[in-house]
Amino acid sequence: MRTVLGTRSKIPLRFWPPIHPHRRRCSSLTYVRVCSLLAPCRRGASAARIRKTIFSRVLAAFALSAAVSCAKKAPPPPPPPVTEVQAGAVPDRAPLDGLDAAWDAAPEMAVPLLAQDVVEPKQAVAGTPTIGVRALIDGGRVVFRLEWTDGTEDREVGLGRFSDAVAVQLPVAAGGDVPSAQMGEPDKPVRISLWKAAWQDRPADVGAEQAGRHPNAAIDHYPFAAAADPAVREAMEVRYAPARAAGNPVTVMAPLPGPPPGHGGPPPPPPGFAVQDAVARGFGTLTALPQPASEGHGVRRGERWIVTIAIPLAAAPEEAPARGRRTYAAFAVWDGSARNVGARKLRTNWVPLVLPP
Amino acid sequence: MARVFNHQLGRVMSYWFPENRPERQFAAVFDTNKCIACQTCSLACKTTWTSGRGQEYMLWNNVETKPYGFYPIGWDARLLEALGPQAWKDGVYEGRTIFEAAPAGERLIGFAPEELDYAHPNLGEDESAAAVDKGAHLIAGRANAWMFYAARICNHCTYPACLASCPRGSIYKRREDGIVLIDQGRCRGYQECVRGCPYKKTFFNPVTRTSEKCIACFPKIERGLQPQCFANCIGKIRSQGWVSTPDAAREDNPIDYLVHVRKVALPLYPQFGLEPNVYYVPPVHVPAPFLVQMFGPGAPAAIETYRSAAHDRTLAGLFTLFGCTESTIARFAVRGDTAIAWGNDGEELVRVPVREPVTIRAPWDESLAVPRWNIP
Ligand code: SF4
Ligand code: SF4
Repeated sequence: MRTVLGTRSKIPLRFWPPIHPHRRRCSSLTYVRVCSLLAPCRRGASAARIRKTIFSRVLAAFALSAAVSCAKKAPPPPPPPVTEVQAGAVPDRAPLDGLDAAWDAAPEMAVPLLAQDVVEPKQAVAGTPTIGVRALIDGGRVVFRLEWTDGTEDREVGLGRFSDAVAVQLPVAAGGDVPSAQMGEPDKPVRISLWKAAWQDRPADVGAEQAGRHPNAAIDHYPFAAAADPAVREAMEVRYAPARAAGNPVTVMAPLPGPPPGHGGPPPPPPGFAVQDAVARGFGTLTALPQPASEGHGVRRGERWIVTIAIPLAAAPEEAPARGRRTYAAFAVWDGSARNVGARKLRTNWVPLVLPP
Repeated sequence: MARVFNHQLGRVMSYWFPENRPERQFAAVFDTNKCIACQTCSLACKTTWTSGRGQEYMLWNNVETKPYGFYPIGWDARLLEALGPQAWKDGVYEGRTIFEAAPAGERLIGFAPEELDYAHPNLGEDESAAAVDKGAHLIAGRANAWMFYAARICNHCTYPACLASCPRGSIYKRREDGIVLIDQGRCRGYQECVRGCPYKKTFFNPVTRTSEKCIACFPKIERGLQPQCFANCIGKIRSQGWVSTPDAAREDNPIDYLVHVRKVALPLYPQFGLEPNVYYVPPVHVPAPFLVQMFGPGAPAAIETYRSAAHDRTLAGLFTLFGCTESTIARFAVRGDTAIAWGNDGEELVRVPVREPVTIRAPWDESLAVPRWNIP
């Protein structure tokens, strides 16, 4: 066979499909099957004709497959990326329930979370990558809805046990001239509203809570327990809780009996109250305000926290958050199981916050 | 980090703040050879300061049996293991302090105890380091099995780790007496100090959700009185006073005399690098390697000096003054057979005989026809 074929085209076999040497019949041995398929041999067809047929059909096949694959992979036109937190206005009270249907209409911005890696103690690993932020504004408040993944639910504070938490940070002064996103600057303070799961879930009866955790613990007596007069007893109990007696705002959110009049700072907020307002002027300067003005609520959905924080709108337009002003907000997240507390946290950069007039 | 001088290490070291010594520094000497683990000190502290809610587990003063006692469990063993080799050469520490060994992103190397680590304050109580088999003995000086009691309070360190680890600056060292305190109005309960203090002498209160620590009974100190755990010590093992830096040591200052002049009292785990201000006379019957690990390379010499006290009137007189007054002893002298103590304002506090008079009576009372007991 090879000798017969020897008379055909001089062009090497690997470049051209073999053509019938006598243009009369196809040989399944020399005219390879693929070519037979592409250009079935017709008696009398010239070699040039057959080549042309093959060429045009291969070209058409390529064009067709390209067209098909393009049609398959072409993404739908991308939705415009959400690059700012646009607070939607609602006529009634914006809901504190993060699962309320009113939130469906608010666009969510996925804000990247970064490990706090500026001051020691630093947060070594960034856990959850983003926090989803939505906002609604009503007559007097801007309400943030914050959603992030946290597979472990930490609702308690104890020795070596820390609470899940989230915070909203706004510049104190409205407008675009914002301080460092990391806790503000000495002459440019930030206001921070902090929600903690442990605050929301603090036990009403601290004695029962302790007894539940340590059923075999025996306590000889508390000196204040002997006082018959409840007012005297409570006054004594505050004296035996030094931070409480010093008016420490953290203890206001702790499971303690309220101080009697004239003792130990503001009364504790009602059960379930979970947000503390504070001002900061740089690292380590967080100072809680004596009376919290914001409120909030957190719920779990699967492996995620959905927390709302409602912050009253500022009375003066030069303060944030003010209606009709474009400003910035930043966020932070703490995972209790990862021993996140204080500086050990994930935080975001400033993101634009638009509040409608 | 700043470079500061730590005289217990014989070298400069890294610390988070520049050297800033107080006008005078609270200090104490504990003679471990006299402690009987009666826990009167623990109870004196407990009833004075920590009987509120959330303080149930706290022992600002605790007494543990070494080598197997810990409060909280493993407080020193865990850190010693993490710290790596701790070699000394000619009195200079060649290893790393807890500040120098800090992992990236941390202020120091530490660990956070769990809740249950505090649940057994008497763990290992009276357990000796080896089995006391037939024929073995626990006689001081010749023991082949040993244990001793370590009474512990906050050391009111010159370079406090609790203070360095607080990101809020809620912990401060008082200029007037060097006492280290947590600002109870400012603490937010991050528990960084609990993790950071190598001696585990800051405590988290789960009810107030803030941290608390030994306050050296500062209301008493301010009135020239020794803290409760000193004043109530049954074994008279403790004396509170003021310590100077070695170059400014005064021979008539009892703490300076024991620490700098006679070098008979040594810091607890000086290699941690905090310059702790509670000094210990090491137990005389414990093997040197354990003592060197716990009190530094001066331990064998300190024991020699302590053994010589029987023939050393000044040393014996000073130890006799321990526990003889509730007031802080700022100055002392031994004149003839009498040891004398003066207070902060130069007022004389007490005079005691260096050797108590001893009368040995005949064991049989002829007049009453009864046997007598001679009680030392
Ligand atoms: S012993 Fe601990 S709590 Fe006390 S001053 Fe030193 S580091 Fe702070
Ligand atoms: S009171 Fe004194 S003797 Fe008793 S345990 Fe405390 S330090 Fe030791």
